[in-house]
Order: sequence, then structure tokens, then C-alpha cells
Amino acid sequence: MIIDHKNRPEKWYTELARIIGILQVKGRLKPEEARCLLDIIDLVIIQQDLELFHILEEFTEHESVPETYEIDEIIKATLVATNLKQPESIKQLKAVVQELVRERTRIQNKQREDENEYLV
Amino acid sequence: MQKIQEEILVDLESERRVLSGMLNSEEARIEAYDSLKEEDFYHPLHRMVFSLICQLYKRDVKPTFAELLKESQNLNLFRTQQEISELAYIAEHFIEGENITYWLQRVKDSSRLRKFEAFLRRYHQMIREKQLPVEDLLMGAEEELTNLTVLEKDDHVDSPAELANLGYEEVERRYLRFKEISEVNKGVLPLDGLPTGFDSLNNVTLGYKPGDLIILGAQTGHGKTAFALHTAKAVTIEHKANILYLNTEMSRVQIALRWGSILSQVEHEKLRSGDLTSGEFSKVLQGYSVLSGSGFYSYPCPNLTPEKIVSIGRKFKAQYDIKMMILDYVGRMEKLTPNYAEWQILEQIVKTQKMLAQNLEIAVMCLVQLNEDGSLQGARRMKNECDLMLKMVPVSNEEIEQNEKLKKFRDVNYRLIIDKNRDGRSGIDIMIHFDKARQTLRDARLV
Repeated sequence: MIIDHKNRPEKWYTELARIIGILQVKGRLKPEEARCLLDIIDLVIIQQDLELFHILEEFTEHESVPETYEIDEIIKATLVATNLKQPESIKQLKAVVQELVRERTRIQNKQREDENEYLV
Repeated sequence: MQKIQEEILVDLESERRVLSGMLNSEEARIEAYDSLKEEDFYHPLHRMVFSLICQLYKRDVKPTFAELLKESQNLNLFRTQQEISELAYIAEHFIEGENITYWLQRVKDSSRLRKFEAFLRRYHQMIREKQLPVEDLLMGAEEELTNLTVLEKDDHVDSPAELANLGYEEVERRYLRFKEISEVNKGVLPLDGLPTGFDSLNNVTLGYKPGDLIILGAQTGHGKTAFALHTAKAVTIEHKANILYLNTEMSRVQIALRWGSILSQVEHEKLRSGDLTSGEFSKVLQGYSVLSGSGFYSYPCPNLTPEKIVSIGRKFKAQYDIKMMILDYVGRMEKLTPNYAEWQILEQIVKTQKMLAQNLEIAVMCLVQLNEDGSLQGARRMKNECDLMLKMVPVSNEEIEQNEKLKKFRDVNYRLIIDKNRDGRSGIDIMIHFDKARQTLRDARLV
């Protein structure tokens, strides 16, 4: 029996992995970045780590602004440097990234409030 | 013509299905790893993917698409967009594990056809060039064709010279060993296989050898599991080899507690109740530390079938290089064919275990239950298949009092009856001591 892949998460997984692989071949992603992204999709889609999914979802919810560039770089460096095969490392990563994402959201909210005040 | 030829000889679709199955199902990985070789694939990329999946499988890494990409990155493979897209295409063509045999057969058939075609081309060329006398040509062709049509990849027919050479090497090895026994080991026989855990049984059998099927029968409550774990201790802790232990009736906790008692020499009941002194507690912890560094792999599985055993055995041989597998016990296995009589099922299981032992070149031990009168259901058929048949039976005090031979032992309470021994003496008994409280066994001590 051939399994229908329509709307299955595996379909998204394959497509994402393919894109990551191609971006690396094209030199648009460094090997360590590609490796990190492949580990993340394995964790989020195959192993269904919803906690990590929600943290990353919050991270990608708002676009970067110059005030958060530094935090963005720290988050990225933390993700790339973590061994995503070790449960203990993943646990620590989530705590660190969640804290950084909260700080990032706080800065963005504050900036939005400031803009609103200016408009008023 | 060219297109027809390619369709017959090259079956890329089946190759993709097999690889996809391997990516998605462990059952498919085990089957394909065991029955295919890299050269059975036609497409170079498929060969590469097969090899990568096998490498990951051997390291016990689940070969997801992402893992495959990372592994290829490490080895600097898949350097084009097309190769990655082909890999994605393969990953998407998932087939259910149970269909893998159909696609495997198709890949194997195409591979054999390609070999046949190459054979025809080669001999056609040789005929044209008149390289060999007709007789030699035909004999050579016949031999190659026989290998192609009759024999599986692992089968091998020994030529007279090969057999003679094998015999010579074996006698030479034994001759040198005998010299070693008399000169270095001072008369103590070195083992040919894995230690049994009993000096007397080591002397009679020279150890459990690769390809051996060992059957141990005992009545309920008379030490089947204790014997199995005693063997495991000798093999994994004292001999430092890896073992797979399959238990059909005990839980993980029960197995772990038994080990605690065996390795610490603290009574099992104390471990179960928790009524331990601090000294005993410390001994138990030390015991578990020894277990932690050993090669004992346990698989408690109440619904075990012969097919599942083969599959697990192959997996552990590939990933952990196990030297022995212990099945505790046969009577508790799932009966897939309920219409069969008990003896037919037992025969089927035992035959499967013997084949597995030979194919994987490991020793397999099956524990079976003896009837109340000490007999064994389907005993004759089991005996035919196995290399060593042991029965563990209690020795009563009355028996000791009446038997002069038994009086020579200080603490005998059980005997191991060697019912069959393909490589040595049989029909003899080995006197042992079974400490039920600590779940340990040893040779009985002489007075």
C-alpha cells in the first residue's frame, strides 16, 4: 500500500529538508546552519517537540528590528552551538532561547508603544 | 530494443521504494540490510543512499531524511540540487513495512538479471575470441550459471581443495591449542566458544560456539531464568561479550531486581521488600554499576513471535555485534498458527532459532518448560535440531542419601543432565548448586 502524503506533516518535513539541503548546496547556508536547521525540523516534526515549536513560533512571529539584531544573533548562535541530539542540552537551550525571545518581544512591544505615543 | 532491455534490467522504481521503506520503517531496514548489497542497486545515487542508511542503522541512528542529509554533508556527498531532489522524491515514496519483501525481491531479481546479462556478454566475447577450449568454456559457464540460479548470496559450495584446506586449518588450530594446554595452561582446556558459567560444563562442551542452538529445560519455578541470567553474567560480565536477552514473561523491573541480587549476592527477597542494611544497599549499587558497563541488552516482550525474534536478532547483530541470544522462554511465545499442534509450533520455533544461530554466527539459547514428570513436549524434534540439550532438575535429599556418587558433593541440590551434545560427550550429569535466595548457580563443591 502506498501512503497518501497529502496534508501530512511528513510532506512538510521532506520539503523543508529538501530546501535546506539545496540552500546549503547553493552556498546560501553554512554547513553548521544547515545542520542546525535539519536537527530542528527532526525535533519539531518527527519527534513532535511542541515546546520548542512554540518558542520558535514566538521568535518568528515578529520581524527583526535594529534594536533586536543583537538578540537575534545570540539566539542564532545559541541554536547553532547546541547539540540537538542530547536531551539535557535541548532542555537548557529551550530555557535560554525562551528568555531571549521574551526579551526580544518586550523590546518590540516597547518600540510599538513608543511609536503609538508619537502618533498620538 | 534498448528501452525494453533497460526496463527489464533496471528497476529504479523498486529501488526507490526499498530505500524509502528503509527510511521510514525499521522492519524494512532490518530486511533490506540483511538481504541486499550495495551492488544490487543499479543507480549510483541509490547505492550511495543504501550505503548511508546502512551506516546510520549500524550506529543505531534513525535514518530520517535530515540525518541522511547531515551524514552526506559530513562525507561531502550529494553536491547537486538534482541529487537532493531525487533523495526527497525517494523519502516521499513511503511504503508500509510489510510490503518491503515484494520490492526487495524485485530489486534482487533485477540485480540477478543484470549479472546474467553480463555473464552472457562475457561468454559471448570469449566464444568469439576462442579464448578457452570448448570443454573448459562450458564447465566454467555451468559453474557460474549454477551460482547465479541456485545459490543465495551467503551459500557456498566447497570444492575438494577448499574442504581439505579447512580441515587442515582446523586440525592445525586444535594441535596448537593442545600444545598450549599442556605447556601453558597446565592441562586446563581453553574454550572454543563463550563460557557457560560452569567449569564442568565448559570442559564437556568447550563453550557455546557460534551457530550453536542450546536448549535448557526446567520445570516451572526451578531456575530457568536464573540459569539464563547466570549464562548472561558469564558471557557479558566475565567474558565482556554482548548478549541479547529476550524475556516473554517478566517485566523490566523484575529483570533488573534479579540482576541486583545476582551481582550483589544479596537475597532477592530483601531487594524486593527494600529491607536492606546500608552495607547491602552499597553492594547492590556496586552490582548495578557492573551491570551498567556490561554488554547485556534486555528486551522484555510478552507477545514475541518467531518472526520478531529473527528481526530483533538481526538488528542487534548489526548494531551491537551480539555473540549470543537467550530466549526466555519458548512456551510463552505467540502462536501465529493456532491450528498447529503444540509440538509443531515448538518444532517451527526451534528450527527458526537454529537457522538464526547459523546465519548470524551467534549462539542461541532457548529455555523450555519441562512437564511435571521431567519430560519435554516435542522433545525428539527439539533434540534433532539443537546442538546441546540440557535439563535442569532438582536433586532430593533422599536421592543424595541413596546415591554414593552424590554423597561426594557437599552442597549439590540440582543436576544438569546433558541429553545431547553434538561436539562431545552426552548422557552425563553435572552436579550444581542453585541458591534460590540469591538466584545464583555454580558447580557443586566436593566434600
